[in-house]
Amino acid sequence: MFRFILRRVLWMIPTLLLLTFVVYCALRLATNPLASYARSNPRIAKQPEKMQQYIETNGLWDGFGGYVRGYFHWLRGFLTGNWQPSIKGSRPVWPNLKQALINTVRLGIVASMVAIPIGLAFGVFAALKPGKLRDSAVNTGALIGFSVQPFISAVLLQLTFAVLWSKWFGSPLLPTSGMYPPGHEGFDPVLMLKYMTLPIIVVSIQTIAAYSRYMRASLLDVLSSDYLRTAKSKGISDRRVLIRHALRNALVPIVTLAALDVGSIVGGLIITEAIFEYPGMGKFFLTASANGDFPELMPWMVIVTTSVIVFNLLADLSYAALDPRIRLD
Amino acid sequence: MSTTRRGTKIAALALSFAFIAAACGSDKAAAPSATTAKPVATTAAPAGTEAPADTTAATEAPADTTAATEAPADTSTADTATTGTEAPTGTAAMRITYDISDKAVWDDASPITADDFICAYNAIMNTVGSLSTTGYDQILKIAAGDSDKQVVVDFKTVYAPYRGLFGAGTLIKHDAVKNCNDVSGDFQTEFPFSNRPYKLQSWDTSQSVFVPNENYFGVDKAVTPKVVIVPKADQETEISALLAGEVDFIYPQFSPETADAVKGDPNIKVAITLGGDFEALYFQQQDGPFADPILRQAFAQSIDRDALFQQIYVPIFDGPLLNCGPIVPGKYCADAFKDTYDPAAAEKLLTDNGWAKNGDGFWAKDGTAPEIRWMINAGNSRRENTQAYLIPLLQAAGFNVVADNCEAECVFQKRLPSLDYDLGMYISTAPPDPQYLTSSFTCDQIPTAANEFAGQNSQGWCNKDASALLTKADATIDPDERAGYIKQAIDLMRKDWVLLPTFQFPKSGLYNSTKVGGPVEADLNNFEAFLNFNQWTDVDGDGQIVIGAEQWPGCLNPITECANSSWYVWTIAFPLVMGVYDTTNDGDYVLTPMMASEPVVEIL
Amino acid sequence: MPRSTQGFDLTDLQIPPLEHIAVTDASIGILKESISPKKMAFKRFMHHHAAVVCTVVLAFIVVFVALAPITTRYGVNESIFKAEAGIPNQNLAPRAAAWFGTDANGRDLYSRMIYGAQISLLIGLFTAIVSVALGTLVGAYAGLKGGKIDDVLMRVTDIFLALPLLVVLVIVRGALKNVDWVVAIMGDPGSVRFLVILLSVIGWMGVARLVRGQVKQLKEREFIEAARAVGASTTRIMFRHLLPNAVGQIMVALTFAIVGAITAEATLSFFGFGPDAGSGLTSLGLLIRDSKKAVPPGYWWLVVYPCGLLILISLCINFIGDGLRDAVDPKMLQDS
Repeated sequence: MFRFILRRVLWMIPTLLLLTFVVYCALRLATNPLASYARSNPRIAKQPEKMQQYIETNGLWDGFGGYVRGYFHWLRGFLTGNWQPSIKGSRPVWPNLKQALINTVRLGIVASMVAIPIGLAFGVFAALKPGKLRDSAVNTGALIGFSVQPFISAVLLQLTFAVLWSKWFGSPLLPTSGMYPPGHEGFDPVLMLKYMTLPIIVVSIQTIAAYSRYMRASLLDVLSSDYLRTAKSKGISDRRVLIRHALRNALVPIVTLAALDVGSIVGGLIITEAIFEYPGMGKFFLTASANGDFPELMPWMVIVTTSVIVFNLLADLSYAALDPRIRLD
Repeated sequence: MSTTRRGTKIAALALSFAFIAAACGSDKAAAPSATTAKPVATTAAPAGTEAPADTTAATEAPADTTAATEAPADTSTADTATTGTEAPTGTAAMRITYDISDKAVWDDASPITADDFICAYNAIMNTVGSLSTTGYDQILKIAAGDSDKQVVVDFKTVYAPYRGLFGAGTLIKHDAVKNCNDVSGDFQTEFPFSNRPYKLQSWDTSQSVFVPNENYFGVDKAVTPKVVIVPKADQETEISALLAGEVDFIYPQFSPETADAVKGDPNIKVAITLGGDFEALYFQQQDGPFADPILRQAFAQSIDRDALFQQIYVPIFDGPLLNCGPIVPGKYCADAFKDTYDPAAAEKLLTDNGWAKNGDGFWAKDGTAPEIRWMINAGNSRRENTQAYLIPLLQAAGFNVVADNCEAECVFQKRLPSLDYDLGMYISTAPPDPQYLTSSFTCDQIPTAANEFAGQNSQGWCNKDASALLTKADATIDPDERAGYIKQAIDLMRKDWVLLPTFQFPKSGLYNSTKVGGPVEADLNNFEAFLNFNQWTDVDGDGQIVIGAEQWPGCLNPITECANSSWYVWTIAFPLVMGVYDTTNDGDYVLTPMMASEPVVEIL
Repeated sequence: MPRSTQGFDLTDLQIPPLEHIAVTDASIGILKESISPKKMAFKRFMHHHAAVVCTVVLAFIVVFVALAPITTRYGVNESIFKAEAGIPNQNLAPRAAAWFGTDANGRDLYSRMIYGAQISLLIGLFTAIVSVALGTLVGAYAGLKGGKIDDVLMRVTDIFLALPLLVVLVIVRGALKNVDWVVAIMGDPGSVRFLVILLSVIGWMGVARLVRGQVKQLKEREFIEAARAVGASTTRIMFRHLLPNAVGQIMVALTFAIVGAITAEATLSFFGFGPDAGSGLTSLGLLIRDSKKAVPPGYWWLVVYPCGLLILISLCINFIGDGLRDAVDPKMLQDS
């Protein structure tokens, strides 16, 4: 077990290096940081020596060799905390990125805490009477949930709860955008939850749909497994005992999936954040990519991919820890 | 077991490495390299760069307004950015003496002096950034006069558009920055001074907060204790926020959807005025099919601008068709582009010059029917609709027109500057002074190696007479004489078919009258936009006015790249720093209370 | 190693975790008993009523869309009549002249929805075919060979599938459109071809994982062992024995690949990275992009019809996929 963890953790390093290198190449191509910089600073762009200086400072050499060299240049700067300032505004990247990260994690955690239990409850509800009306109802509901894309539900919710509501009842029920009302300063959890409500609903629709299906499938799987049949045949007839026993086993893969999902929260709420003006990672990504802001996008990608990889590892570990049948090595 | 696994993983890594190497290596030939990439001035964006309307991503597209004002530097002049503070030599042709009011002080009560003018001049000339140096590069010498409340500026040429110099948003409080010659490190997240009714209390990516400047010296003091400006991703979000009561005032580009959206709410007031924004079709005539004046003229005469107007623009706002040229109605407009539609004449012109329709029904000469590439920024639905409407009609008229669109960045930063299109369509903003015509339509502004491809004349139009007229206009102080030259130059544009103007875009302000009152509508047509918000009243008594902004500045620096974004100047620079003149709602200049008297202009 | 035992279908791509989450129960239910006579599968599919209804509805939509010039009333960019001052044709509510109303340019929404659905379905179909073909080959080969190839595949797809789809698409699109020879192959970034290739470049991975998992199980079975024992070549085993037996799973993957591609197109279009509307075509994604503008003024028809059609199409395909999966892998129903 320990060896397994150690090996996996050690393997994360080359994986991360390789991955950031791929991302580095893709972003160099996609955003062309030099062109973005020249565009933002037309007067500098006219001075070849200044541009050359920018290239040297930031390692923006051309060609594959240049990319490799530039990557290591970037990596050194990144690891030593010597990050390039953003192209737009020449501001340090970290303060904004940190704030965005906190905001997104906050939204993601709250949404998961609301949506996953609901989804699981639906799944159990459906799996207890497979093939019956409640099962098809949950199944149909889940498929409808999948088919309603977040951008559709977001737009419709905004329309209903803000615009139409205020037309019908004089004042809107829920705010449509932002994290706090304009002019607000400081931390206020109640106000923040109010502003988060609509984004949470949008995220929840698909999460509930997914987890109800995960849970239903997993529980059915366990209920039909041999050891439960054996238990049944041996005369353990208390249905509640069976279910409790089955539930515990059915949750094993769910925990794994939840770990994977949590890992992708960090970069995964783009659509919702964009529509609700929520100042999180998704918004950060869209703004930075619209500006072609390479120095902002790289750390973003590093954080998102690291989170994905780390939670992949945690998922594997949790799977091993929870399921006695799995032996790591 | 575990050793083999390790082996495979190493192999896997190596393999993917090779794969990536192949992928990245391709870049060498493809992506513009550092040496070949031609820098493009942000100011170049022949405006029109309203953010691609539908992408929520576009929070900060290079904006139009200032693009035209701070207009395009005369790029062929010496590299002013590295000359330091030493003034260029030569004899002065014009001298302007500015007298600053004794009452004029910054928000910390320190007096506004000649040093602040000199600091602004040095910052503009010497900070490597993007603010255009046009006009300032004509300054030979700037110094304090009889007292530190007087500034004497010598120009090497007569510079008629001098009212645009040291305007709103340009002065820099000399002791607020470390080094006036390089302010690129300042103004990171704060704007540390103000001489307007409000000062900036805080700014971040989600809001900026203004509070009254206690030391404001003017009479129009701040009325509301707090003004908050918040970003909204796009018009729909803005309107939703207004309807939901989250913001009190918005300033969108007008659309029919806007009017319909607020129709049901009696508290929302819509104020519309026709401002300096105009849209036009432009013909790139340096090379390609429109290098042929016959085809160009015939094509232009085949566009039924009235019908286009009815189809696309009347639903937006039932105003008149724009006939002025690259300028809005006013003292420089003589309706030069009236009655351009004449399909019979077009057909005759082509037939007389050896053109004939080929098997596909397209006009062809010597067996070839040239393909006309029409470029717009993808995602702007109005322009997409215009293409969808006009292209079938033009094809029916025998012109082989195809849509050849790309994203805003590609249009305004890449293809316009490299003249890589045949027909273009975009919005520009005409500032009060027509000086921008010189930088957009003269021969030496065609992007070439000589101006390092930063010239603004992306139509590639070169008419020596017109260039001479425009240049002369800029050195003519007498307003009527100047207007005469400009009208003559615009006549030449019509004669050479440089563009077809279509529409003067309305500017609109929408506000909730139960939340904000006072002269909200008074300044909407102003180049400096809703600058008078200090006089607006807080009707609902919540102690603040909330303004929704369509784009959000990435930084607060008035000299570097942010200076070229209209939402930056509207929401930060203009409301915080007054200069010698302010613009008025009628498109004119007015002296600010900072000045003791009208500047004295002497031709030497 | 739970991830390696899970097949990930394309819905993974359609729905990145949390915001969009995969219908991965196929992946959880380990596919033990997948080979059954086609007739049995067909019977089981017919038993899934919702899937049958959806097949009929979808077939109806497809026929309607395929007969486009006959079933439409106006051209894709044709106004319902020439507008004059005072007689507008823009944003009209549904009426006899325009059953679903008109858009901001006076065009008939009903006709545009048919043309839009045509493009969306084409994108969905072509993307699905390309990604399934590619994914099947790669997945089957990797599953059969195992070892290094398999490892590379798992590593690469692990990461790509874990990153948010929109981010991957935006970055890959950005990179591809800046490489000249790629653009020469893929066409203009605003073209349908570019979009199909872009979506396929990402889309094959989910299929590959699914097929790989399937093949890994099949290969342990007696008949494959037997084939191997008599010296059949890898290619022969793959095409003669493995793929025919995995065809049910591949069909399921294809279904989800179609719906994945359709929603991916809509998402990209919504954010302005979709096909170019100026070139005269439209798609469901573009129509929905326009519908956003119609929300505040309350032009409900511009919102309800296109969004409804997209939901209907993806719901139908999801149901069909669900039915197919039950038909192919009846395990879920057995215990009831």
